[in-house]
Amino acid sequence: MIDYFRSAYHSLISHKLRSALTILGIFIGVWAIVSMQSIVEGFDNSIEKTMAAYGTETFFVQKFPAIMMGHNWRKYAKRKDFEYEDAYFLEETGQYLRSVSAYMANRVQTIKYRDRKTSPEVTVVGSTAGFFTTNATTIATGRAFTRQDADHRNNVAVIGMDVYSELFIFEEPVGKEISIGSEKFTVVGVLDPMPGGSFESQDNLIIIPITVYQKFYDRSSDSMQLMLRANSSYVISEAMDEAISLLRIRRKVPPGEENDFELFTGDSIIDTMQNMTGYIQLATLGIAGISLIVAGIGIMNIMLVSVMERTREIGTRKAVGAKSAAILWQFLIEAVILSEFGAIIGVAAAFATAWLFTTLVPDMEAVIPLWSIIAAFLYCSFIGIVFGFFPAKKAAKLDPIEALRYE
Amino acid sequence: MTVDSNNVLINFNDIYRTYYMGAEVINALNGVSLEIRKNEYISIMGPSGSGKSTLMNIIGCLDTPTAGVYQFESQVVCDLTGDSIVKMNDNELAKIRNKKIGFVFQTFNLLPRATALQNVELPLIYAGIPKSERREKAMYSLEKVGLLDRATHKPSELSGGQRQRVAIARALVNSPSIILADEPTGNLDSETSKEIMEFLDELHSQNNTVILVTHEPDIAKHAARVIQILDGKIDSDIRKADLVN
Ligand SMILES: Nc1ncnc2c1ncn2[C@@H]1O[C@H](COP(=O)(O)OP(=O)(O)OP(=O)(O)O)[C@@H](O)[C@H]1O
Ligand SMILES: [Mg+2]
Repeated sequence: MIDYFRSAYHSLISHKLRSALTILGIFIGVWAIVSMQSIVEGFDNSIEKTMAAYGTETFFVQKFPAIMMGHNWRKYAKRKDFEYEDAYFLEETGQYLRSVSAYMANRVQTIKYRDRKTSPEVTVVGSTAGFFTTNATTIATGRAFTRQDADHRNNVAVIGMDVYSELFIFEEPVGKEISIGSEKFTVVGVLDPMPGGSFESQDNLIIIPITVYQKFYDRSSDSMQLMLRANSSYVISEAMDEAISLLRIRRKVPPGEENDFELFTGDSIIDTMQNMTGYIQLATLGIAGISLIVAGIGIMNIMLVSVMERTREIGTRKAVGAKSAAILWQFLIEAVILSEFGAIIGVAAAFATAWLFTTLVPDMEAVIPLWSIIAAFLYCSFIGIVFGFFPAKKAAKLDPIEALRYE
Repeated sequence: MTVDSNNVLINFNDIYRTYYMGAEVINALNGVSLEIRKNEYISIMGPSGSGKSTLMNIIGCLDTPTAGVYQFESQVVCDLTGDSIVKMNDNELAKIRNKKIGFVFQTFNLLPRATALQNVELPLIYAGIPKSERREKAMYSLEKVGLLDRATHKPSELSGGQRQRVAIARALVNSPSIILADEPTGNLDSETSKEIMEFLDELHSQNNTVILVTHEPDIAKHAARVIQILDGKIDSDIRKADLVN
């Protein structure tokens, strides 16, 4: 048996270019399947972790759907913008709503204090006073900003733990003046480290009143989001129903017409995401499956050529006592090795791709699921056997005399 | 007869090999009866197309007759005379080729990508002999033909005569009952031919049975028995002893 492998290996090695071209199809197919699985898996995981951080009591409202599919962006853009006062309204009127905050955060910046500065990746969050209750965060030192701070557009800021440790070492931060870009802010408080399972630190942020945020950074309210926290996770659906009806009234949506806003939970985002990635997964599986069948036909083709070229060899082997089964095995193993070799390089390339994604895309860890490797190898063996069988059978059935006489 | 029958290696009884080419019927062998004993040295001669190779192939179990009885070492390879047809199957024939027959071809038929040693090992692989023993036997066989120093060479790196010596080493490696050489010197010059014939003579002197097909009377002379074939039939079958007498 080992001899079969050795001889198959030698005959493949002696036709390097041809073998390489033949396994190209297998290689691409396997690479596509395995790397796609890993990316999809990594994507799902990262979404799940990010969303899980919000817990089961919170949900969100905004103009645009959480995940946009299709091209109806205009339809959503035309909807009325949210105002930060909507958060006050909902928090005051809603019975099931413990707290509501408005929220904008499309910006990262460097924060400076005297001669010190942070990395340029601090997330600047514009929010209302409700931010601290909706996110269930606590203040380590100082205070949260208040509704008055927002209403009066005070340049005040609450900083996350990471920002604090980068700017202040042995210094009391409260009352100090820091700058975000060219604007000066007074630090009023520092947040405790936030719980959350995301890869990225949750604490590399600075929170300023949303009114100030709009004044300096983003006048349009397109991207404003409301974050709502129900009294408990048991009343989340009541809280969502309540939010919908209150918002319909406030935004004057006539009865019978659909909502002019979108409402979603962390779970619903995960679901939509996983649905979508599921389709991508299925599509790549299908395409790669077909490409592997095409590659299999390539293998069959090359094996037929190889059998023809080696007719005399087959005759010689039979003359010295090879049984038909031995010849069949020889060529079958050759076909399987050929396709498995393609699979090996394909999996290796997929590992490289996954690594590249993990390093290049923040927040994403593309892991190659073991099952996808096993499946790739099994499928390639199957392809090798199925498409190698006909040429191998042909070789095994050759008449020794005719084979020896073949020119 | 009883004593002698132990020594009979090959027994042909009215063997036919018929090809049907459309309406045409070709009797490559047209009723051949023949007995070959152990340790005989036989030359088969005859014009081109007379059926020499066909005869050799049938003896070597590469081909099977279409009529007649063939016994090899008293095993029935095939018996196609009566109503009941007895025929060895492909695997049994392969086993005989592997264990009992050593072929030497005019065109050498070595595996081009394998080394001399690997070529000599080939029959042992199909005999299922473990690697270390295989190595040893193949080296021994290569030594016999004086090519130990060429063991790792590929056929393309060897001269014609050396290639044929590798082929002879391969034929010998399984200690076969009979060596069949179909025009072994057909592709070689006269000097190299002589060398190869010396090997075959030596093999015969070491108690091997050798059958040789040739066109050249000079080469045929090496054998103690010369069989002439004509149109698929034995035309004459002369032993040297008879000539001397
Ligand atoms: N596969 C085949 N189909 C039809 N006829 C065949 C086949 N093989 C051999 N023959 C015929 O059988 C006859 C004997 O052929 P064979 O090869 O035995 O001749 P030979 O004596 O070895 O000739 P040479 O000296 O040229 O090698 C020839 O007439 C040949 O045409
Ligand atoms: Mg011939």
